[in-house]
Amino acid sequence: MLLFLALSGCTPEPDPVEAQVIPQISAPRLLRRASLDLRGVLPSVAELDAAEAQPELVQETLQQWLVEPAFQERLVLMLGEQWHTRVEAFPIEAWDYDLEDQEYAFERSVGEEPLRIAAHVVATGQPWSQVVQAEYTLANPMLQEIWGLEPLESGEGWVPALYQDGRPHAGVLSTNGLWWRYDTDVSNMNRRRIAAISRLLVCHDILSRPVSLGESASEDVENAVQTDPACITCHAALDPAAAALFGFWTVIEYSEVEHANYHPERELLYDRYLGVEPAWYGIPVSGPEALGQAIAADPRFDDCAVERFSEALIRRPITREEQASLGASYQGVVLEWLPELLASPEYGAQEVRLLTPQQLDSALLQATGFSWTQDGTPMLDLDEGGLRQLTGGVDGEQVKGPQAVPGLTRSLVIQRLGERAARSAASQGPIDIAQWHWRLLAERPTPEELQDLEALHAAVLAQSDTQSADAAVLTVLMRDAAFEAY
Amino acid sequence: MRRRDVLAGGMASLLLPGLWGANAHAASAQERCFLFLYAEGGWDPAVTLTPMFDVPGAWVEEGSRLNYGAGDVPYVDHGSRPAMAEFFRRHGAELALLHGMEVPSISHESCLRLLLTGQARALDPDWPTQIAGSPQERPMPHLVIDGPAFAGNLSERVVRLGSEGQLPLLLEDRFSDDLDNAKVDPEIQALIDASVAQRSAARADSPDYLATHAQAHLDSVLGLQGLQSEAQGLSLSQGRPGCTRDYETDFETLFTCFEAGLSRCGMIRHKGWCDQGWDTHQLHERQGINWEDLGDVLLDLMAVRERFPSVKERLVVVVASEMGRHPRLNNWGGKDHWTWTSAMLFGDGVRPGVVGALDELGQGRGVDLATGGSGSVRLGPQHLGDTLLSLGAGEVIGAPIQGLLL
Repeated sequence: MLLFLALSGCTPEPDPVEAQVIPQISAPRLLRRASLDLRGVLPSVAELDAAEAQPELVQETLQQWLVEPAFQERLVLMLGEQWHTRVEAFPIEAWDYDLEDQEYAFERSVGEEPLRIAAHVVATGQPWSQVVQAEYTLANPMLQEIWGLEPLESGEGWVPALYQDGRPHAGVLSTNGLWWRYDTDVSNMNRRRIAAISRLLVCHDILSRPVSLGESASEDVENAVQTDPACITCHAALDPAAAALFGFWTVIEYSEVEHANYHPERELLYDRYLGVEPAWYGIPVSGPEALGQAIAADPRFDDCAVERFSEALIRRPITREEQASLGASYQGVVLEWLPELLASPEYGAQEVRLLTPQQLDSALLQATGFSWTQDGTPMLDLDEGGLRQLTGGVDGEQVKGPQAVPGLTRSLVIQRLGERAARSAASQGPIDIAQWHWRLLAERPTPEELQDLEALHAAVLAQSDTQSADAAVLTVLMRDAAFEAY
Repeated sequence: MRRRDVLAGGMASLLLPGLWGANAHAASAQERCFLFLYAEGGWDPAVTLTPMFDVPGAWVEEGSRLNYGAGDVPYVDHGSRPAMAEFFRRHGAELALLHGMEVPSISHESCLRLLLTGQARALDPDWPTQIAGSPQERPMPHLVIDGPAFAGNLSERVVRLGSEGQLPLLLEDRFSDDLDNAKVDPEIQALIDASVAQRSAARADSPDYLATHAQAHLDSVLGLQGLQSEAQGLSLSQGRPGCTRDYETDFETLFTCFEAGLSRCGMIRHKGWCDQGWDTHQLHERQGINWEDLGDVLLDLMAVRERFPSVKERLVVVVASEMGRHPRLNNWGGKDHWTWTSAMLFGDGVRPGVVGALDELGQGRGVDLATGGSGSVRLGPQHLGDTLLSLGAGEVIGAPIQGLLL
């Protein structure tokens, strides 16, 4: 039959079921992918051996990783790529608090505040709706100190805490961190903030709509938002929601007191300045708490959670069909649904994802003991003088999405990083080339690959010492195409 | 496949010294290089570029007047902006001013994406990334000294210098860190590089799902090796940030890379005087200060351009901001966002003159793309982009403003 079809120039119709099969990566590579996603580190040799021997148990291992503390840290970074709050410029800077020698810590503390709430909600198995309803924020000692927050638990890290300035608590909607990143001003009056949470929480990007202003906009722009059809399209949704946040409205630039504190006396000024009643897409609300409830009840909220977390782990935009299929079992608790996502063909697909700068850093720290720092600041998580942007990372301002294909500066950073990490590993004793190949790439070396690496080792040894030869081989593995991909 | 074999193939060209710069003096469109100077935050063209004296109700700065630079190009003059006046007096005759370009959004992020890609949401690469060409042609096709880049699916084309010049530090392996760093011996380095390239080449030739990635990885590794060889001795410095920012150094670095054939496009960001930004919802007087600072920057650009004659003859400069400002002051003494703005182009292949105008509402009038005169087409960023793409390709791409093309 096939011969007949070939001779007649026809090909058989593809089987519709067969056409939907998504080729999967190997069990060890899947374990590596999930380990880097959920823990930020490479799997151990023992874990890889187990995955190779019993691939059917890999999913069980992944579920165990979801409850490890490292997962919460990874969530902060994954969500940071979408929320764009891990930036290095805020309206209030470290020196406003006499923290100029802790600039990196200050910027990350502020930017991570909303991300920590989101990560805490997910990792502790709470309904995702708590991200806009939690009656607390998350704060580390620095934020507790500079903003006068009251911690609800003891501890040196991030703990639940309460603002003491009279603000209502509504999860991320009550955080300085989110509102400093999405700053407002006298004439913007929180609209930018509503556009941001609409994009982040219900996946509705108001700002992507084209705007074509009419005549009235030329004469009185402040009135035009309620009269010009081109303006009304967006402002009909933006302004009522912005009205719910007037306690967070700031009118004085560069003032730490102005930006750090809630202003209950401004809550009702929306009437004077916006002339609308507070509402979220037509649902009346009375302030941040009610706004959070309305957002959580928005029919788009659950779909958006599926979209955001799928994209965070699959690391590309997902289609509507994928969203429907991946989200079929989602019931509002992200942690309960994640095992489904991790077991999906889309997650295990033979698609290339590139390690983020932070994954490179944490993976090599654990594998080799080396972390690239300058005065204690991790270079791979820093833009100003650091290497986050150059490694293809998201800075949240100029770079909004992770690099998807290798590039020159990324290769250069990985080269220098690899050289340093390899030296660190080689200084700890002689290496087993095959074991390191397995550890770093989750691939057993072929005999030819092993032979080539041993030849490199011998060539370097002829010019230098064992440690240099070991470092050379490890550098090659860390610069390998299969290392930066996962 | 051995590295020797890899290098014997097409990618070997990356390592041939001087090849990138070999055609530096050719006059073809493909040899043009592009500098994008981006004013971040939304400038007010009415302060300097686009007279609004005829727009009823529009804010007019006290003491400002309509003046004409070289080539009779009109601009708004003010005694507090001598650098801007000098720029128009010296260089007006080569400027193409594009007025009434509609950027249909009022959000900075959307407007910026629109300005640079023509689309508010799509993830397409921006104009410089598209024009820049592949790393096989030049190792740093689009060199971002500072500022935004929308690389889309062409991220291998975008190379960032780093806010504090991290790229040259990495190239020369003199990055300061907490490790007592010992450089890898050059001979050992060559062995390592060969091994890395060999492994990627082998994987790229395999049926492995990573094959396509391995090819891109190999390209970047070989491109890097070529750059490390070519960039030796080149100055890749970046100007200081802040109030004393030294744009001259930025231009020198970029033109050095253009001259050496390392790059074709470059992005430099102007954040206003003392990095105070152009987004003046309050304190509109900051616009005048910013424009004067930009005048200084443009004079620096012209001075540096004179020192790179082979770059000058094929350089195209684009000066733009993501949005304009409303004709009238708001209640807070500033100006809000406005979807109509202006842009300035000059250089090789650009016909000087003024295209577009504002009507009595401060909105853009239609133009005739063929002549640049008045017509029925509402100018948008896509027209600017198509004009640049056409300048870069030497043929008509999309719907360029042909009236701007020589």
